[in-house]
Amino acid sequence: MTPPLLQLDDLKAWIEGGSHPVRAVDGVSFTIQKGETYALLGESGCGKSMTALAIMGLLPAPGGRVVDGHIYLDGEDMTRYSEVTMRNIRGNRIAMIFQEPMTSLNPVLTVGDQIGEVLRRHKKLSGNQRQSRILELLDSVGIPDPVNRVREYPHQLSGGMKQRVMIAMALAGEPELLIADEPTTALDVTIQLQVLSLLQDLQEKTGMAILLITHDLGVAAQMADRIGVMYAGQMVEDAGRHLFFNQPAHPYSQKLFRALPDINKRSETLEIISGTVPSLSQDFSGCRFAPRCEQKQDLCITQEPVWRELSDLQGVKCHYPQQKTVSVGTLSNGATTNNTGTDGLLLEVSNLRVHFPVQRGVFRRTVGYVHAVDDLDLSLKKGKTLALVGESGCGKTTVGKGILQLLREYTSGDISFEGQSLDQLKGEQLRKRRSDIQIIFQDPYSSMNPRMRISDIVEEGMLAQDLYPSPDERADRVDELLEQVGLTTDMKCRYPHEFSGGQRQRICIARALALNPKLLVCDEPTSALDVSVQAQILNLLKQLQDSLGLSYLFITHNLSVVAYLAHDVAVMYLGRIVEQGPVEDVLNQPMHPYTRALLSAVPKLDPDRQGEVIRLEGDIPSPINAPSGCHFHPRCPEVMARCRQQYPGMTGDEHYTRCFLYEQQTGGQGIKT
Amino acid sequence: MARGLANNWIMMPLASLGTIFILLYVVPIVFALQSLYLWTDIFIFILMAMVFFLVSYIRSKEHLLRPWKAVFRRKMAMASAVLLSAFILVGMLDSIHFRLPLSGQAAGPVQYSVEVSSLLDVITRDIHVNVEKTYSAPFATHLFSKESIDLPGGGSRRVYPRLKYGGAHLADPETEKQDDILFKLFSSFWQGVVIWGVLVALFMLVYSFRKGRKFSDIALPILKGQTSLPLRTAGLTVLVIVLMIMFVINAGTAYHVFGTDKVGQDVLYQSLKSIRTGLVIGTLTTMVMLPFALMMGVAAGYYQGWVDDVIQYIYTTLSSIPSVLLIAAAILSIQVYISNHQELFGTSIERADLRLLALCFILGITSWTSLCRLLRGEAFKLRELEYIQAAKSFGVRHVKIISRHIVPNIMHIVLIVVVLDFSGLVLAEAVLSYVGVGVDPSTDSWGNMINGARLEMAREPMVWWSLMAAFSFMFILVLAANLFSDAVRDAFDPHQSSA
Repeated sequence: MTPPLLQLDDLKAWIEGGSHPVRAVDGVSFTIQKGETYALLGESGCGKSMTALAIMGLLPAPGGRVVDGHIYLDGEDMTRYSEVTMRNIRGNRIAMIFQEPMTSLNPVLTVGDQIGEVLRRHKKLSGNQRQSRILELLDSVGIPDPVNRVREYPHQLSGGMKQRVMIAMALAGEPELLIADEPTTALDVTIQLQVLSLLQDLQEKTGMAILLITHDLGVAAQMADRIGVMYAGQMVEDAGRHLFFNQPAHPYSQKLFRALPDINKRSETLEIISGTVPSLSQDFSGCRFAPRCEQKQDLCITQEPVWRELSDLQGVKCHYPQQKTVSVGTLSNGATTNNTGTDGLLLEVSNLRVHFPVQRGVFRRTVGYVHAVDDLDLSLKKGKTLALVGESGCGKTTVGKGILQLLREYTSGDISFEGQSLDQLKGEQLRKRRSDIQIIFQDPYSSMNPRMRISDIVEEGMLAQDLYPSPDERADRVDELLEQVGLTTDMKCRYPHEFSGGQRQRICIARALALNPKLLVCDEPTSALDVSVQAQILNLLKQLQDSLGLSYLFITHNLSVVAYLAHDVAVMYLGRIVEQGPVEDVLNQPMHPYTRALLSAVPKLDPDRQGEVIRLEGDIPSPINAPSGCHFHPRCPEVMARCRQQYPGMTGDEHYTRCFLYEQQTGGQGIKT
Repeated sequence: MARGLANNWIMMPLASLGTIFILLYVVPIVFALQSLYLWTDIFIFILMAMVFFLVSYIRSKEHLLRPWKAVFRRKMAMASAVLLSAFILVGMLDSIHFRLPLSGQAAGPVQYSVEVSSLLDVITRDIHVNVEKTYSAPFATHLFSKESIDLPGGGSRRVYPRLKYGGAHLADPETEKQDDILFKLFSSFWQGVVIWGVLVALFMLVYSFRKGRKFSDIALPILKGQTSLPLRTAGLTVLVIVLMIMFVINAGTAYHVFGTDKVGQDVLYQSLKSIRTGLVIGTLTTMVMLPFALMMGVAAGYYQGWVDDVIQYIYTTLSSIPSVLLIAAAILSIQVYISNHQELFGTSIERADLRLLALCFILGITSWTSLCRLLRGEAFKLRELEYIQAAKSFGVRHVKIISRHIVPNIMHIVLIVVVLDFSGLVLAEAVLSYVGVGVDPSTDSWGNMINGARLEMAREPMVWWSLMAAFSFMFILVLAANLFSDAVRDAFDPHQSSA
């Protein structure tokens, strides 16, 4: 029997240096066969990336080293190799692509130079041979017009293009194993779909194996043959795709599935994993997941579980494994709208335009405008959630800031809040009105002043609006707010850096609630968080909406969150709303081709239902010179001649779209054909 | 609770301020001195008060204290800090000025000496009153140059005459000098060690009393070097300083440790006096520059638009004028003003002081641009951050946003730049004085010492000790400041502490 391509045998890679070593990888074993895709799943900080770096022999210096275990490549132990030997393996037999395409290319070298370097080093190609191979590689990763692209610098390429160049570089050495560390996390869903299907095509052609590191269950379901789940530096479950997605055995894997939001869980609170990932610089006794496990028994706390093979295809590190069937989420459930009737409108935005001037030259002459938001209409009902969905760069965040009146000098159009035009307000009137609309940001690390205590942070708005004049009242209110968002009052004298991402997001929510707002603009509040923490925040938002009657403008690109939380959805493309309607209607019967593509691009959790996907070609155009006519026409699979000249009007009523496909039909009532 | 905390941190600086007040105001009255407050003295004491307040404020805030603890945990930084404090102490002693009453005067209004003394002058009186005729080498007993002396039996001989004070206690310098110096070295060593031991024991006693713990629990970890702050290193640095002081006390009164200059003045005394000049230039200049840089930089970065344009225009213009030219022009015009208004100044030291102050100002005005540019960039970055956006959506006013959110988050840059600039400014003073546009020629400063020694370098044999003294003092101060600022930068710079 031939040895597997890669075999990890009880690998332990620690980072030494501080008082205690960080046991980033602490006993990981798995095998990858030739031509197979193995997905390594886990939340941040569980040692996925360190495992990959250990395989590459690139552990962070100083301090990082393999303390125990073996890494066999084709039966040979790589941990014994010298650095010189490893250099011949890296890029040649094993190649790696990284999460952040923006920083993993050298900005001062052309694309051709960077690919050529690999070819010179490992394939000893030179001159014309090298040039033609570079073109061949760029062509194989689907970069249009490679002859010209070869001479371009990384900054001239979009994010998706850069990731393709990275893949081309990785392929240059014709590796037997490609390690992809979160290759699509920084990309939008439609681009993610392009990159993932590119990887699948290349794998079919070259027969290489892929080690895919991801935190996204959907990506794993779409790509992997086998799946390994990591927790706190250890492998806790290893199973074939079908077994894993149908009958996960480890309580942690099961929890991960249940924490995922989807449309069927709308009426319930999401299951959460209590507590946090343990610090890896401690000594463990017993099962590492035991403190957070609901099925734990005495044995779990005292004795570390051993690896059990449940079948040929499934192994688990648990004392009491139970294979449980989990319901895998879907975006649409076929149900139709149960419209609760129109409540009063809280916010009505019409013809909102945010145009940023582009200035050039010594005298800063305005030479053009970035049409970040263009003729946008939105309406939000009292006590409801409107989700604003779209890919990065489409102007979602700008809409939020425009409504908050943070970009007044660039904004035009009417924003009416409770019947009052916000854009007409001036000076002190506006300052007083600000308490009604508050915002929660994406990045819980940069949204709090690191030099202020939690109580000062939460109090700030009250001070600015003179809500509670006496210090005691303010202190009481801070306590009340912290308890409301699930924190304890003894935390108020601490500083932001002492909290985890989820706790920080709670503090941000408390800060926003301090002014008794009526509308919360949530700008991707969960996209920087892990699945289990995301569930906690979503539960909190839902509970606050029920108890306080808040309205949310929920800006996101994550459609499963939309399915779980939103009442209405607005889909944005390049500064305009292309489709808006009640969430069930939009998700079940999407009308606009863009919405349909977006929905189909989301990786499905059920590996058997990967269904037909609509692949969009190309990238989102720049809002400086948007395409004429319908902005979507260069990427639209159903483009017509008219689309190139005119921007379509609204079709439909409660659920409307802007597309000529539906305008032609009688009465404008679009029904999916 | 918050109010109680505020009371707590404000007590310490208030007590310190009281002490300074007594030193400056009550002591002169009690000892019948006429105190004289020079401009630079006033600024130095204001600066001192600000430092006191800042220190206690920082001690009350955990997140502000943390990086400072990291600074002082490094042995090198601790030793440098002790050394710097010794320099600062000398500078402070030299900043308390008064005129002594003339002795042996009749009743009636008290007459005061024209000569302005400082506390340092009084302490080092034994050193600086011993004025020789001209140059003499360190530890010399004879003058550096031959003179003709009349022999008792008529006629004259060219000899190196004995010094009036240096080694005057020796009957036969040839044979006794070496033993005498060695003896003084040994005795000052033992005296130093004893004094140091008493100091250390006292410190440990007070420390253990305040912590309410056994003396041995406090003393042993310090002696073994196991404390979190390197107190043993600090103690050893203090030992070195105490030993040097003891040696200067023992040998400095009997000999000229660093020799004498052209007019026979003790070079050690000059070097000690120069410390104040160096510190004044290094600190006051920063004080002048800081408000400009901070206000303009933050305003430009935060408000942008036309405010930014105007401020950028100002600092681009200013930084394109060669600063030496600007300094020379300003100093020359101040000099003209001083000589045209002699009546405004009671004493020559006040005239010199005005010129020193003017130098600080003009150095400050020419050096704020780089910090301003840095702060503008940082404010520019910060204003887009989400907590500023959140504050705006609360309706917080601009001034409040700047003072609560922007300024505290750029202070680390200010601190790093200020500490790094200090040594540069001390060196700049030396260069400017050497060129002739620095401090007044009558002010003791390292630059003036070097300038004076310049011509004598060509002599045979060479007069090297003035230069040597200025060089070593400056070297020690600048090295200590640089080592300290390295530690400060490492602790405060977010780019370096991210790992």
